[in-house]
Amino acid sequence: MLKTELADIITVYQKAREDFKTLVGDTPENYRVLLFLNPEIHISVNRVLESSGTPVAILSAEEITHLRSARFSEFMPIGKETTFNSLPTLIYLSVPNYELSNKQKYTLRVMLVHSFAHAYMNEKSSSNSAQTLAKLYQFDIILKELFQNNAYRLNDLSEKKHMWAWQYYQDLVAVIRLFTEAGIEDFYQPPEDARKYTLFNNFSIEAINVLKERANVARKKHLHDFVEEGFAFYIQRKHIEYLKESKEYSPKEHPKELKGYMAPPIGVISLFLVDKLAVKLQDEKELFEKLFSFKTDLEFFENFTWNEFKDWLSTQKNFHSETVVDSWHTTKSHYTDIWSIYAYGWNLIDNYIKKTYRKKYGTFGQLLDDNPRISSKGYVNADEKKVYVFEVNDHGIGLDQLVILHNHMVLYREDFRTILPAFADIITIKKIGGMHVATLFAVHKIGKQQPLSPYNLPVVTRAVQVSKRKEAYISDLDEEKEQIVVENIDYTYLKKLTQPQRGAIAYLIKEGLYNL
Amino acid sequence: MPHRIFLLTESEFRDPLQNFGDAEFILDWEGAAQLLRLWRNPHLGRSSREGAVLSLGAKNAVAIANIAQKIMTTHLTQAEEERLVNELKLLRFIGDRILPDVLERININELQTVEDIMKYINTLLHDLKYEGFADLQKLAEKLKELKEIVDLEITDAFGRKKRISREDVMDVLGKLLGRYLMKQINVSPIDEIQKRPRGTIKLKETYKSAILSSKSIPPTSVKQEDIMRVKKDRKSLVYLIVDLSQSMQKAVFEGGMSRLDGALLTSLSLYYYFKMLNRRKRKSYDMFKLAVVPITNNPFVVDDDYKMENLLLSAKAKGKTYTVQSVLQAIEHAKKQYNLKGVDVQFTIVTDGMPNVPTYPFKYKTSSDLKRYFNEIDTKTKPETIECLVQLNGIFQNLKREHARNWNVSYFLMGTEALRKREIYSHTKRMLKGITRPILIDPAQIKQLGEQILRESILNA
Repeated sequence: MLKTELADIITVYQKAREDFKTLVGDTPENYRVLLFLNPEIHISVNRVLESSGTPVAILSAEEITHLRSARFSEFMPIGKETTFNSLPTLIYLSVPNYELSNKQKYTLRVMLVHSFAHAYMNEKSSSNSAQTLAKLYQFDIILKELFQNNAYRLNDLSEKKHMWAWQYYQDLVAVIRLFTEAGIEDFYQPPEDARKYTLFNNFSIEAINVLKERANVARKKHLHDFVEEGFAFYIQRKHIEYLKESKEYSPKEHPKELKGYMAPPIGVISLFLVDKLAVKLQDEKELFEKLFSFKTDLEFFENFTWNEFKDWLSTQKNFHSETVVDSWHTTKSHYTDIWSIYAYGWNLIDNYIKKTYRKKYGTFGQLLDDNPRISSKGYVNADEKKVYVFEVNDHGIGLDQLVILHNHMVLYREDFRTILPAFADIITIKKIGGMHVATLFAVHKIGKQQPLSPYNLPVVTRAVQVSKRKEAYISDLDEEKEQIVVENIDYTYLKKLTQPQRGAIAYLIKEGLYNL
Repeated sequence: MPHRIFLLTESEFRDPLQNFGDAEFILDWEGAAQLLRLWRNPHLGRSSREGAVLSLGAKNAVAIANIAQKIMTTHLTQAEEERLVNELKLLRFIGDRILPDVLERININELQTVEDIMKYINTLLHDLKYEGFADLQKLAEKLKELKEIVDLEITDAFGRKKRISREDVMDVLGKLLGRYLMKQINVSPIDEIQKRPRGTIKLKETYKSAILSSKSIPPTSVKQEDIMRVKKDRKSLVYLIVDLSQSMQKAVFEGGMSRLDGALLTSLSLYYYFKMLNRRKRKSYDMFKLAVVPITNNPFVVDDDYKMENLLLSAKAKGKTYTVQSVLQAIEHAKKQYNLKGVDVQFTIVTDGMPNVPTYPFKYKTSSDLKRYFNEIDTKTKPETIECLVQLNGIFQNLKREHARNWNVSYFLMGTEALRKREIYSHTKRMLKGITRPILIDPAQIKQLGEQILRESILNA
């Protein structure tokens, strides 16, 4: 039944394979194509892939809420290319209809060949990128199962119904994933023999172990995007020329649906670099061999000099700026606004090339260390209580997730007996848009009543705009009290912070910890 | 490579943007008290306002990143493209320029109410006009989102957070508490006769009738006309007379909840209990009507949403105990309501002390017995309090004798068991002799007050 319904699509698929065979002389064999009849899910998968590295990773609750709200306002990219470059390669596509028009057939054929090129590269390349992604995918599947089974079981076992477990476990995985990737392992992990006491301990130990392993693997992944994209765009261009010659379908211009496959800056620049490489070599076969032999982008880049790069980047950027808005956009009046988005993409590429080339970065871990999503900035001693300070970049965690972080800080490792670990207070500094915020998250003493959930804690949260303005940090405390407070606070263990950041931290500690 | 096709359904391949948490929101009594306190005092909740700004900022950032990608990778019509470009500009402007400013203002404790925010937005727009910002109209619409900042943040028993706008607080709180009360009081034992607020049902007769009408054993359904009642539906007016005198300021537990909070929440929960109960039936009149009469200097009757909201927002525990005046006010109100015979009027008085302001002129007959009792005993109770008790007794006795309506009184005294040995209890008991008996409620058990009031005054009356 499926075969008759999907007849059109299958024909296109087979033609695409034939095309690939004629173009390259071989076909990829280890891949899966997922066709979504419901484009919504395709978009979701794409977003998850974008923000967490694999299509099955668990996002934190806050992230999901924001993404859903963006979806609700129709802000989500629909045409973006979604290929997960693992082994097997996972190719995600949305299918508009069962029956395809000529134009749609053409579009799908081009998309498929582009994706096959990715799959082929993943099979042939000597880089560890594809294998690593495959491992990450497995880790994420394990984590998802672990999370769902444990949350389900905890709910099932307890009479009180630990409803919080769903969100808590979800956030735990999402937050600790970030932490381990950034190389901060300063969070709490229950000792191995705590496993038998509660399901919660068991889950924490298991999840944190898997996450650590995942982080170790992820950090060793080769940076390989430019080689992959270069090859895929090279094959794509060849394919489009081939289709033009065969006259099966001869469009005057490219179908607009191919925008995601043709317009982005990374395609332009990587294709250009492959062309430059091709000049140095004898024939196409040698070019492919060479591309497959690159383990990292760095090896690819090192075929050229830095001066050449500087030149090419600016000329290609100019060239792109002249054509892209005209050929892929319908609005003519908003040229500057639209180009500025592409220009931002070019900036990212510029930075990436500069970093990898200049600092000789080969792996994902090295790149992460350069601008970690989360970094520790030491701690403040306040009344013999430690307040840890972190800095989080744009891709870091949100306010709600602080509670997880908080619960898992290393503090009294031996004291872990109950479902709730001991607490450290934390301050995080984070930029959100134009806001540069310092947030305090502290816990009071827990009274007689046992908290019902890890969220149900008497917490103090405060957030301030980190600012140079002096009047921003006027404390509500009176002078007398303040003097007592100052004696007890020790800022010597803080490192590498700006003066306004220090000001904000001091204010938060005064206001948050003592002025309750 | 062999090619195979598999079909996956949405249950096998779930939408990854799913929230795993359960949606049911369980607010406990302390949570409700906290919410009430935040609602009544706009100075509180600064950290919640700060959190709201961060959340808006994060939402903004996600939206910007997605729009940028959408413009680069998705084919768009001209109108859609222009919409997105405009949205992007506005969102960037808000994220980069406005939110940091808003956060700083909140840090120094400005922007506490909706009015503050509207004023801020207006001056901002005014300034931007001269700066030549293009899309003021759109920006104004977007900026209205800032109102969310003063929404109140509540955390339920499991730590899930929810934000509700100030206008909705009474409704949310009332429904939560009312529903909670309904769950408590609907659990009546099932035997031959089942008592329900709307009347008493004969179970056996109902069952028989259901068998006859549905012609099967066991009956497939119980229809409305099958239900056999002992009594006919009644019309009841319920007056909750609540003490708001100074002594109600006392805290009742560690959480810092005061007796006043408890009394207000109880009033609200009962108000919504009856509101929801009435809404369930298609009747031309409401079977129960609840009005709250605060015991204050100038007592007034609270019988609609607007007055209720006002009471909740403005009630303060201060002054003397004007019970007599409040009861008279309630009687006046009750007499205006129905002219039918057989209307039940239920007075439920909740107080933590004795009345101490008598009223003059007093037209009811007073009891000489009670006067003699007070004359004979040796007491430290002030003469005006004694006068009040005599007046109250006179009013209640008079009501009992009146046959046009069925008057009922129940009297709740807030205090611990130790109160039984004190004068206040014995005096109150003597005053209520032949009418009802005082019921002691422990302030620490104030959570159960609503339930207790319903049991004592409605079900068993």
